[in-house]
Amino acid sequence: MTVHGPFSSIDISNTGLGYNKYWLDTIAHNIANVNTQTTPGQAPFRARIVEAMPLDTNTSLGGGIAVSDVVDQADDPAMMFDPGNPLADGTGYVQGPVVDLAEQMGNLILASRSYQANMTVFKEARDALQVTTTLGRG
Amino acid sequence: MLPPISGVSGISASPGVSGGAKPAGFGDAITKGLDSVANIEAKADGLVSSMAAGKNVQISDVMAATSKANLGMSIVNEIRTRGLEAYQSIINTQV
Repeated sequence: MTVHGPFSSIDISNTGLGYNKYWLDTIAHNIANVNTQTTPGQAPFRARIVEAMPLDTNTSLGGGIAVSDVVDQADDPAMMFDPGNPLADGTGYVQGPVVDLAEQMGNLILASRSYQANMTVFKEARDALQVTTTLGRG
Repeated sequence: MLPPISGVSGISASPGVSGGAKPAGFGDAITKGLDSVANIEAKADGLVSSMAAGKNVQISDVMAATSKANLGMSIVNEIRTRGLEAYQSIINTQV
């Protein structure tokens, strides 16, 4: 993506908005599944982790950010003794999700603040360009 | 849905200017500017239509496109105003 142009700052902050929106969506998915249990032996729910990738790092200006990969969190699931649960295995255990709610809440704050920061850049760039158009007025 | 603004037909360079090279054509410059703004607006229009139709469109992309269209239009309009001011000051020269 080539972003050298009058609107490059708008384009770059737009990539930041897109990335942080994606991150927020992922956190929503992780928090929604914070109680998703599975039978031991099956694949547990694993929190999705978004990985970032800077764009156009070989140009002087740079081109913003993109999602490079989404990986699953690689911890061991918690085992809970709950023989009455229909998902329990022969020994009475169910498998919890691999997602840390506190970590996700922290990420939620980071993601929403990053989104706001990119929005501020977007607005400032737009306002600066708008004011620049009035420079020629006598 | 409003059709995108199509470029105005070029204001012909004044034939009365004698001697020297043909003027660059202020009208042509404005027409070119309007054409490129029309392109940006068409893109924004497509995104707005897609979003209104419930398609999966990033809101920030729509806002970026509409902001660009708005800014582009402002720039072309300002240039037109400056050009017109120059023309008016020449027209009003006392002889």
